[in-house]
Amino acid sequence: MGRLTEISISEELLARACREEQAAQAQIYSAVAPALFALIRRLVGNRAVAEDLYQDTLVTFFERLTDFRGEAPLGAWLRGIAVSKCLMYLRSPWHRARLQLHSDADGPSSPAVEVLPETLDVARALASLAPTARAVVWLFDVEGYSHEEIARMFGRSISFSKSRLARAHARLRECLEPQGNQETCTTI
Amino acid sequence: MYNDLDNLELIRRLRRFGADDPGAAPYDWAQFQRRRRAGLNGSRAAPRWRFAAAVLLVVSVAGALGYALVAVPFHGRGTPSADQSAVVRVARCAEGCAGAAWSGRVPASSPKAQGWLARLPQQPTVLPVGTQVAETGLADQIATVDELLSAGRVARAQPAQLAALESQRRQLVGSLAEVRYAELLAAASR
Repeated sequence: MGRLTEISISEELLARACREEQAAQAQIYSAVAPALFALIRRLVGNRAVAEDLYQDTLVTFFERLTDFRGEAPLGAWLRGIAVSKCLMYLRSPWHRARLQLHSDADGPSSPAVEVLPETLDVARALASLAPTARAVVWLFDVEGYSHEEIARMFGRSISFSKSRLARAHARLRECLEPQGNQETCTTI
Repeated sequence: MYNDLDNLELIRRLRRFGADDPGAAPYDWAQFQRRRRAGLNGSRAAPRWRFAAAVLLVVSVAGALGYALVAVPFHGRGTPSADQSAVVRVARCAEGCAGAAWSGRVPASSPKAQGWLARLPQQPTVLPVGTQVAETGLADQIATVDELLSAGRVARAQPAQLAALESQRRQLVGSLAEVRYAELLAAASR
């Protein structure tokens, strides 16, 4: 599966989608949907919440499609909308209340089918992180955001981003080292 | 102690995990469109409901407040006392001559009433009023109808009379439910 930023959409298809042609919008949906949902799930963890944010992101995306100026790839623009929605959710009082209520009930994200053992380990290790720490790790290490960008999106300082990342890396190393005890990978 | 190589290996594994993730859309385009339409319908319907609830709430509270101000001093008494008539005049003035100078329009017929009037603010004050007055009034009326119904059944009243009372009770219960629902919606929208 390609990353969102690597997905290319032709200008002709984009122009048709801006004219609200359903077939063109459906084609763009099919192209971006898997990578978009994977990103949102990695950021928020919970599948039901991820589906809500996914729907919300795509509704906003199609509503604002005519505002897209083509200064960055379409996928990067969509990624910006998705990350903004996810961080808004992670910062919300509703999310904090939900964490308190369901901290024991929410297990790690269920791995996808036909996963390699290494992939399973990484999935477990990521699931052991707190949602904010997981989002920082994913945005910095995988999506390539800078500490400045992450701090701005969270509305916090750069040292917040750096310290969260350092602690999360230490936690991930604990969980992923070969002789490590996997049972210690519980949510922090 | 971990060095930078450990971090690089960790980042490499994370990126490979991201690239290997066999992601799939949770639902197709048709389902997305259905959810989108449902969301739009829901978000458009909500303000109408909230507006209707707010109007209902305001009407109920205003009605109950007017009823309480005018009728309460006479309940259970023969002739109203001097203080009570002053209260009624104040209430009537508040309804009929908003904006006028209160102290000049209300004839105070006792020193006690004069003292009470002197403590009132010169300008009308807006106070947030809950639905408690409306709810209490409706609950009292339901209780009265219940008593009449019980007495009518014991005395074997005519079925038409009992049916009229039951119909009145149903209307009162419906009004009470509407006031409570309006209060719920108003609280949710605050």
